[in-house]
Amino acid sequence: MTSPGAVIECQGLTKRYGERLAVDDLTLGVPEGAICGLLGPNGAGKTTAIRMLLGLARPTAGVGRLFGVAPGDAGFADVMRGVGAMVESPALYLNTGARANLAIRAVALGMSPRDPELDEILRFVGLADRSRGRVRRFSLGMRQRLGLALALLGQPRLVILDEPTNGLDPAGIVEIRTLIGTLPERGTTVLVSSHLLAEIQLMCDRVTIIDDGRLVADGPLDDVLSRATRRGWEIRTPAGGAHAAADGLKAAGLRAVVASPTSVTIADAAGVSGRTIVQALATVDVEIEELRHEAPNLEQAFLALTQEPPA
Amino acid sequence: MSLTLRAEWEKVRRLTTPRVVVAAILLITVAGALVAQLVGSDDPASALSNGTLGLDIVALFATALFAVWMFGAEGGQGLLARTFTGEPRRGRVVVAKLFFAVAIPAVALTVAAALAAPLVSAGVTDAGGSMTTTELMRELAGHVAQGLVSAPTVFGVALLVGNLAGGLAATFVLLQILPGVLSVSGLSDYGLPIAAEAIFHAIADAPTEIPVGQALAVFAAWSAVSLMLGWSRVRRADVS
Repeated sequence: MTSPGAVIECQGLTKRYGERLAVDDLTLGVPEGAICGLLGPNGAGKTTAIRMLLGLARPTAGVGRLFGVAPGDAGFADVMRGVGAMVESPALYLNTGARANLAIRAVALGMSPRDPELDEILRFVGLADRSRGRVRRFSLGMRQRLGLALALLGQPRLVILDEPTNGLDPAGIVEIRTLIGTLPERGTTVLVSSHLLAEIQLMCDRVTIIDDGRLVADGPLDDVLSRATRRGWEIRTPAGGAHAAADGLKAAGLRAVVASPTSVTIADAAGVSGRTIVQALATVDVEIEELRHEAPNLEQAFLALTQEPPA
Repeated sequence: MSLTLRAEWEKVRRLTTPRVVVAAILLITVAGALVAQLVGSDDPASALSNGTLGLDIVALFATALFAVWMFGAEGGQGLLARTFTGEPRRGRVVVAKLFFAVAIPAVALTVAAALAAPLVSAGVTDAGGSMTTTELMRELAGHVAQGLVSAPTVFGVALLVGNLAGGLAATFVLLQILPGVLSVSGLSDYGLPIAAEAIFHAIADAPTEIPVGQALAVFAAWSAVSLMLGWSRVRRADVS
């Protein structure tokens, strides 16, 4: 269900490419002031959903609205002046400078190309000393920062970022995370898609998880974590032992998921004791290198929600 | 000026390609007229055609290149998504781009023709002929108009194809191969080159190959069909 007054709302949003359903009946809402993480495996439909919300792709069915206005409705252009977006890799004019890229965007927003905010935002993303160099010579990380600067220009009420930390070094990722964390203080709502689940967990207060185009989970982060993971177990095995361990655990009725060739997680582990796990693994003769009782985390929730449950 | 026009003007002002196209128009037109004047001719008609040869060539190619670039360059680099998130009313973006696709070459060609005018006039005089200022201005304006006739059609092709390389290839077919096909089929009177030449001759007060009304109708038909096809694609297409 969508909540009234949601900044972002989708109702039955669907996109079909030929036989393939990229987004399937997606219904969700993001309230004002939230930092919402949009998660899903590659090809889950995250970018397609974002593109439909921004009016770049036409839904096959359903509707996506920003501030209550759908693409094509009267007033959508005014709404979009308050929306900053970076979809996939940032689209930049390569044969000109960072400042010129910002100036072009500034004019489209009705600002002066000489507005002091342009320099402020370049300082904010750490490109002040490279404002005139050609973007063609920028590293991937610098381009990403410039894309972010473009999305933040004009103090938008809503920022939609698709994989904003791609290509950034660890220090850059922390900077961007800190930066995104400050946006709600300015009254900005944020929708950020990322495959870096730990980052999403650190920066977001809501998450939406989609898989195969379908909504799997949506809501406040703590709710999704508690719904999806409760307290979990992680079992480390010698190399190649994870699948055998998972088989043994599934045979014992446990919801085990192979996380790597040497690790299995049990996300839904309420009432499951260490003894039960050890006994289950003994039946398939898998050696245990480490057995750890974990606090819920997003990675676990994500895997539990997007991988097929045991038969 | 609307925000959309201002945004497109900001791109024209700040990006490299428009500057290169304008510089090429000025340089080739003036250099062509200068070389013709230095080489000289015994025949005033030859002196006139030699003096305006640079303008002729650059008017056709630079106009076509610029018309394709105005839309195709963004389409091929993912920049169209950025443009359309800034202004989701795609019709306004297309109109603003079409305006500059015609206006920038028109202004550049007019300035280039004005700069070349004294050289062309001197060349004709050296060849023993004479032209009044009005005759010279009409001749040069005719060349400018002839170059601009293809701009809306080429722009429509760029809308249809959606990227720079494809747009240029389609433009080559449109301007270089299709007229030949029409000529072989006995339909050359309905091609853009004949229409462009008739419009040129009408402005230059010379006899036209086809009636001016027919030329304008052919120009309008090519422009309208191309722009409508291009717009029907852009209006509905998903943008990446």
